[in-house]
Amino acid sequence: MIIVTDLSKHFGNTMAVDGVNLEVRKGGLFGLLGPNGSGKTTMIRMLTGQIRPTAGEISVHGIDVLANPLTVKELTGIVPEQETPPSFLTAEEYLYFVAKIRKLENLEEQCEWWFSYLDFAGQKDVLCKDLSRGTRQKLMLAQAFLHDPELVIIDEPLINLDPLMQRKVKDFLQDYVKRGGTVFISTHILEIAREICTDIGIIYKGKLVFSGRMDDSAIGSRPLEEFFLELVN
Amino acid sequence: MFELFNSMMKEEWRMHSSFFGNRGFALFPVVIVAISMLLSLSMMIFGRIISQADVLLGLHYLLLFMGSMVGGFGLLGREVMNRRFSQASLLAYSSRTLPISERFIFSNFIVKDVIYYFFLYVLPFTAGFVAGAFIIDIHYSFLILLMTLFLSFCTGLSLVFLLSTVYANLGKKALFLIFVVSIVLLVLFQGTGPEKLYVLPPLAMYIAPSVDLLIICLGLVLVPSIISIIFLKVDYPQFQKHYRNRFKGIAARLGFYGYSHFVAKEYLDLSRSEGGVGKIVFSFLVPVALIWLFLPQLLKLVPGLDILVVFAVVVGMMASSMYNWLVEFDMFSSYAFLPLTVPDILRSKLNSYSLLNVIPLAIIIITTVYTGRLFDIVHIVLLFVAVSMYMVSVTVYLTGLNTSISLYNAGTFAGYVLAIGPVVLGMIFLAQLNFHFVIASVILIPVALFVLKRSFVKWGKWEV
Repeated sequence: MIIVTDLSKHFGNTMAVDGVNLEVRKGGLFGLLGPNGSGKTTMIRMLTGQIRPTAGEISVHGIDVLANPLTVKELTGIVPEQETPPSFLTAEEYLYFVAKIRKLENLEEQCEWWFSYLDFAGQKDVLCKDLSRGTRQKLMLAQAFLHDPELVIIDEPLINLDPLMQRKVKDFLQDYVKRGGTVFISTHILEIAREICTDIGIIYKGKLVFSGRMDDSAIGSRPLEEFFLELVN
Repeated sequence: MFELFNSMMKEEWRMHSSFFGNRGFALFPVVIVAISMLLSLSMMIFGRIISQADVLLGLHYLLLFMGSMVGGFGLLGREVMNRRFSQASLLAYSSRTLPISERFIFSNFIVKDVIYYFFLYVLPFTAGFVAGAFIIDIHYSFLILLMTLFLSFCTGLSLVFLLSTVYANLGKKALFLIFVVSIVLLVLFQGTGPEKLYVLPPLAMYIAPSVDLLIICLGLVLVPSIISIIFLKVDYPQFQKHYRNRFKGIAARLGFYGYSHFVAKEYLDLSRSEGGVGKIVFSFLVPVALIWLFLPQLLKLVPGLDILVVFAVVVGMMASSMYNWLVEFDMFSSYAFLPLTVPDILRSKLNSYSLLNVIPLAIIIITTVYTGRLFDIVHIVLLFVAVSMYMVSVTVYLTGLNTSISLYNAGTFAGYVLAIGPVVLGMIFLAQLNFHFVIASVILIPVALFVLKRSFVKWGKWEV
């Protein structure tokens, strides 16, 4: 589903991503793990065509992201790092706005399902600027799945969510993968990866230091934290 | 508690310099020096038709206007800063987390604005103007001019702060109050000569300095500021307001229009944001009304200019400020993860801009009819449309989606002035030669379209 070859990104003298090679299989729940500032968000922004890499190639859905970023965005659901829905639309209006951009029709039922599932029906008519961070994150998750994409890329999926909602989102993501979807998440919380991911990659100081299945022999039966610390130290 | 003031100064500098680098922002006063120097050097040509008293009048009113613009940004730009930096990250909101009162913060905020913009605008403007005048052997008293221009600037700033306090306390009733005050001003100044304009205390003080006038000037600055601080009202949302889904209906009604969803969004942005319709009244209709009010007086100082031509050009220039309203609530990062490009967003903004231009267009048509010049309507409308299109194309090319802040970059601002100044002055003086030459403004339309095309290419490469 995703193939990354020799991918690098510099910001001035800072090497945010350094020669990454990565393959994400279709139908998996891939977790990109790494400490803060390790290059996870930069990777996601390049995978989704939001920024251009300094070097390397990216293929998503078999499409060259550099040549066709819009097509990749059309086919993929994306939740960015910072939840930034427009301030003066209500949550419900925002979903309709996204639907118009994605040329979707008859969404009433789907929107209501999201409001109900993520438990924010009471805030659907509140302006986005007045929503709590948690509710904004729910809204951003809902917009990413609105067009029923085959691939969803989420930067920190559980950020700002309470434990009840975290459980619901984790269940939804796992169920989504069972139904044939592919999910790529980034997180620095190792428990999340251990619990829901089928595959992981570990990025540290811009370099991919591990990539493989969760049941990879390199990890073995050790706690993921021990394996992670061993790699980044 | 000098630390708060000190930190606010640092915050203001870093906020601006973070957008376009320390050097780009630091050079902004240099550009102001250059512009004001060119302005005073132009007296070599215009000195024959404009007296020194008229020049001083223009300078003091210009600084009054600049002060009100800076204050206006404080009033209307708060939401922009909230959107870009979030409330929690601004010192103006530190009373939430630190044991400091709102009044203390606001007092520091006013003093910071005054000192900051003294060095950014007033000092370089005065220095450039006096230096340019010195070259052509016209001598001004630098220190007195600096003081009176600074007082003019502070008067504009404090009056707008007062307006913002009135607005915060009275809400929509303030709009009615402003409407009444505007009518009173219209009645007071109707049919009077330009001599009434000289009663502006800082200007009167430059012409005939006296302690009494100094006290009046200081009173004009301090009294509105103190009232603003006493009646300060800061609203933190205590409850979530609920709105019915209006987006769906508006977008459906405009379904025939390619960017209907963006137009609907922008309409809701404007109507639901702080100020709402008041924003149009405050920052467009009131200034247009004031210009219409003062233009006949100012044109008496420069004989031979066609009032409708100048009005159409000025309204065309001011109309381009509506583009800024449209982009101020948006950052491209809000769209970067959707199948949209920066040119898509620019096109949507330009579509909404075209629709909003119905307001100034109506004003132009009404004033043309009102002045009994129905036969000139094609010329005047064409001039307005051409200037508005050209202005917005230059604005888009130079600033993209970051208009209000990008113009503080020295290079961008210089480019803006150089692209706009000669063209609009050229149009005005062309009309002075022969009114029918106004038709030449049609050339600006293909130029504007070309500049917009280049803008889409330029901003299409931009990354958030």
